[in-house]
Amino acid sequence: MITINELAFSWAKKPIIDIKALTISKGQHLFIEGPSGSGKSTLLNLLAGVLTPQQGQISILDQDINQLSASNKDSFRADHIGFIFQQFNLIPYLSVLDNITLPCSFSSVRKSKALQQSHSLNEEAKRLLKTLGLTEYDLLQRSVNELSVGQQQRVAAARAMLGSPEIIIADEPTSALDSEHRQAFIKTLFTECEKADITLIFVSHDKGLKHHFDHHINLIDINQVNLQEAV
Amino acid sequence: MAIFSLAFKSLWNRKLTFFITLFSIAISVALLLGVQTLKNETKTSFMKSISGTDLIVGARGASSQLLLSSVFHIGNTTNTIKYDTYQEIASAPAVKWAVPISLGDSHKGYTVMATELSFFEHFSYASKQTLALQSGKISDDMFSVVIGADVAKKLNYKVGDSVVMTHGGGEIDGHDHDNIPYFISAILAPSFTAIDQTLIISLEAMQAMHTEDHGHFGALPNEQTINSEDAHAHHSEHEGHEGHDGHDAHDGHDGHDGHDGHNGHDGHNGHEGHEGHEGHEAHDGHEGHDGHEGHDGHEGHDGHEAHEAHEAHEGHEGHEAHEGHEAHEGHDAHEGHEGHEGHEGHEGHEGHEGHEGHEGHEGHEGHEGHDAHEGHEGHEGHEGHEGHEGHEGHEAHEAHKAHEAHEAHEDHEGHEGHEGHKGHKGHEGHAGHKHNETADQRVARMLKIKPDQINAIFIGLTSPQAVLGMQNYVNNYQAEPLSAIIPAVALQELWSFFAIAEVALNIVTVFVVLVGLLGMLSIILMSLNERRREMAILRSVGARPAHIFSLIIGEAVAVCFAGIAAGITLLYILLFSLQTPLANNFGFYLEINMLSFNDLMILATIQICALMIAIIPGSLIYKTSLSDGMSVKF
Repeated sequence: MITINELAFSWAKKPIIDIKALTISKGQHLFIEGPSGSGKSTLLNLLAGVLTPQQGQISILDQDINQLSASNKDSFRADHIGFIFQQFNLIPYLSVLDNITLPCSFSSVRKSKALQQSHSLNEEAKRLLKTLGLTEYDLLQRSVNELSVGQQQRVAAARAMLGSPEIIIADEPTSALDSEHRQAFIKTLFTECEKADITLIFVSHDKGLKHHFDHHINLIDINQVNLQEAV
Repeated sequence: MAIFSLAFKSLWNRKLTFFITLFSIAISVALLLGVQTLKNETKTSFMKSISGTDLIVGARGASSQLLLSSVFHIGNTTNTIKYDTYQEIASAPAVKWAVPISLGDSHKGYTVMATELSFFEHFSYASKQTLALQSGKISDDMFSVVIGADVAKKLNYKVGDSVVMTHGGGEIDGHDHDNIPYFISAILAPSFTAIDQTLIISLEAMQAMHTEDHGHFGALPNEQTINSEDAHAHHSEHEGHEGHDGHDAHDGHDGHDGHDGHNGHDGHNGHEGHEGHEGHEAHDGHEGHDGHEGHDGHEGHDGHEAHEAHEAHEGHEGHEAHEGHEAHEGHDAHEGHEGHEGHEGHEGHEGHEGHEGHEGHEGHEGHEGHDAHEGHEGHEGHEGHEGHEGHEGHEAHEAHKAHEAHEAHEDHEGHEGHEGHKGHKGHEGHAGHKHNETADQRVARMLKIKPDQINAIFIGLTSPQAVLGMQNYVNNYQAEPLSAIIPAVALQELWSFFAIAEVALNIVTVFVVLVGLLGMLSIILMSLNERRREMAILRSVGARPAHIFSLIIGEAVAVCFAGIAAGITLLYILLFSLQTPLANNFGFYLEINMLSFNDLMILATIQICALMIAIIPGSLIYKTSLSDGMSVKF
C-alpha cells in the first residue's frame, strides 16, 4: 500500500529524514511514535506529496508520487488521503458542513464516492457526524468556532473520512482532548476506518496510545538522522 | 464548493478590513476621477467662454492679456483702441459683424462692460448659444443696464432697480458715477461665463460717465443753466454734433414718451433737422421758428419751385403741407406727415412713408411728435432752400443732407421697429423714472457721444476662411498698433499655462491611488500570517499552491474592483450633489458625463496595479505554503 525506499530529505541543507525502508499494508492501523522534532511532520508532508524528497521513492497505492507533477500530487492527495491534525483543523469562516465537504471541492473522486454513500453531501456529512457521535440537528450550519475542541476534532475526522479515502493520516489528533474524549475518539476512528477499510497512520508522541494499535513504529528507530542530537 | 465561494467566504470573514480597504480604494478612485472630471469640466467651461466670435481685436499686446481682459474681464484694461478704428474695421468686407466693448468701470466689484445692443445678438458662448434673458427686456435706452445672473443674485437686484457705476475697479472710494444712475432693464440667464458677473451698459452711457468732467456736464458752451424745461433747447445749440442725426432725435423721443411737452418740442424737432444741417445759418433762423411758423417761411419756398429742377425740390409742394404742421402742432403733426408723403418724390421722404408706421403709435403722442420730427427734417432741408434761394447750388446739397438723414431713417428700420416698440409703451411706466433723471443724464442723452476709445472689438467674419487674412490685416493695421486673436487658439494657449498645475494635480492623485493600493497591500500582508493555517488546511484537502496564490490575487483584484465600483458610485454621488451648489455659488456648471475612455483606461491601470501588487503577498504565501505544507509551525 505504502512503500518507502531509501528516503532522504533535508531542509535548508540540513538532513531531517533518512529512512531506508518502510512498508505499510492496506487496512493497517499504524502508530508512529516520535518526540517532537523527530521529523514526524516532515514525514507526513513527504507522504502527502507536499514536500518532495531529495532521494528515494515513496510509493502509495502503487504510484510513485514523486513522479507525479506537483499539481497531480495535489490531486492525488485530495483523492486518496484524508488528514486530521492536532488542532485548528477547521477553517473558521466556513460552516461545519462546508468544512466537512471541503475535500469535494478539490477531489471529484471523493465527491462521487461520498455521493455513493448518501444521495447528497449534506446527508453524507450528517451520517459521518452521527457515526462520530455528533447528532445535534443544527450542527451542520453552525460556525465551527462555536464547537468544543472535541467536537472540532470529530468534525475534522468526518472531513477526513468523507468520500472514503484509502488513507487517513492523523497527526496527534487527540493531543487537544482530555483522556476520556481521547479514548472515545480513537475508538470511533478505529471503528470507522475498519468499516471503510481505510489505512490509518496515526502519529503521536503520546506512548499511552500505542496499545490501541496493532502496528507501531518509533520514528527514532527508523530515521537515520538523529535530530535529537543535532538539536 | 467552488474556490470562488471559498474566496468570498474568506473575504467576508474579514469584512471589516475588507471594507476599510475597499473604502480607501474607493475614495482614492473617486478623487482621481473627480480631479479628472473637474479638470476636463474646467477646461470645457473655459473653452466655452466664447464661441462664434472669429476674432477679438485689441491694442497690440499679448494675446492672453487681450483674451483675459475682453472675455474674462480679468486684469488691466488700460490699452485702448480708437473708435474710428472700430468703425473702419467693422466696415471691412470680410467682417460680418463687429461689436465694440469698453471696460474699466465696476459696480460693487462686478465688471461693467459697455457695448452696443448688437452684442446680445452676436456674442455667443458654448455651442454658439447667445445670451438668454432671465427677466426683463433688453432696452435700447441709454441708461439701461443689463446685468449678469450672478450680479442679480448676489446683489439681489430686480428689473427696474437703479444702480450706480464706480470708476475703475472700485478700489478707491468716492469715484462713483453717481450723477448717472442706471435702471436695470434686464437680467441675463446664467451662461457660466464672465458675463454672469458683468453689468452691460451702452457705449454712450460709458462715455457720458467719462467725459472730461466725469459726466458732470454742468455748463456747456453757450449754456448757462440746465433745467429740465430748457434742456431741449440745447439741441439746437449742439450744432456741432454730427451725432445728432435724425435717428438720435428718435432716441431722444423715446425718453419723451407721451409727454404733452412734446408739443412744445415740436419746434425743437425742427431743430434736430438742423443738426443735420450743421453750420447753416439758416438754422439760426429756425430757432426762431419754434413753432412751425418757420414753415410759414416755406410757403415762401413755393416760390422756389423754380428749383424744382432739383429733385429735392419736387417735394416742395409738400412744404405747403407744412403749413398744415403749423396748425397741427402737437398730435396733429401726424397729419402733417401725411402731408410729407407728398414728398414722396424724395427718396428720403419715402422714408416718411415708413414713418407712417408711427402713426400706428397713435397711442404714443410722443411718437407722433416724432413723426413730426422726421417730417421736419425733410423740411429743414427745404428750409435750407428758403435761405438758399440765392444759393441754388446749396439747395441741392442741403436737400441731400436732409435726405441722407432720411435714408438713415430708412436704414434704421429699428424705427419702424418703434412702431412695434411696445417697449416704449412699456416704458411709459418708466416715464416717471425718466422724469427723475439727473440733469447730467438728460444732457448726456442729448449729447449721445460715442466714445473716442474702446478696449476691444469682437468680430464675426463672413467666412471662416477669412480669419487668417483678417487677422493679418488687423495686425498690420497702419493707423494704430492692433492685435487680433482667434479666441479658440488664444484660449488653448492660455489653458496651456495651467498645464503645470494639471500635472501637479495628476501626480497628487496618482499618489493618492498608490497610497490606497499600498494600504490594500499592507492589509493583505498582515492577513497572511493568520491565514497560513487556513492555507495549510486547504493544502491538506488537496488545494494546490496555485489555488492559494490565486486566492490571494483574486482577493486583491476583487477588493480593488469593488473599490473602483464604489469609487465610481461615490464620484457620481458627489458630482450630482455638488452640481447645483457649484453652479449657484461658484458659477461653475459641472456637466456630468459618462466615464470617458481615458477614465476607463485609468481604472484599468489601477486594477492592473492591484493585480501586480497582489503578486507580492501571493508569492509570499505561495512560498510559505510550499514550505509549511500542511503543518503550520508556530
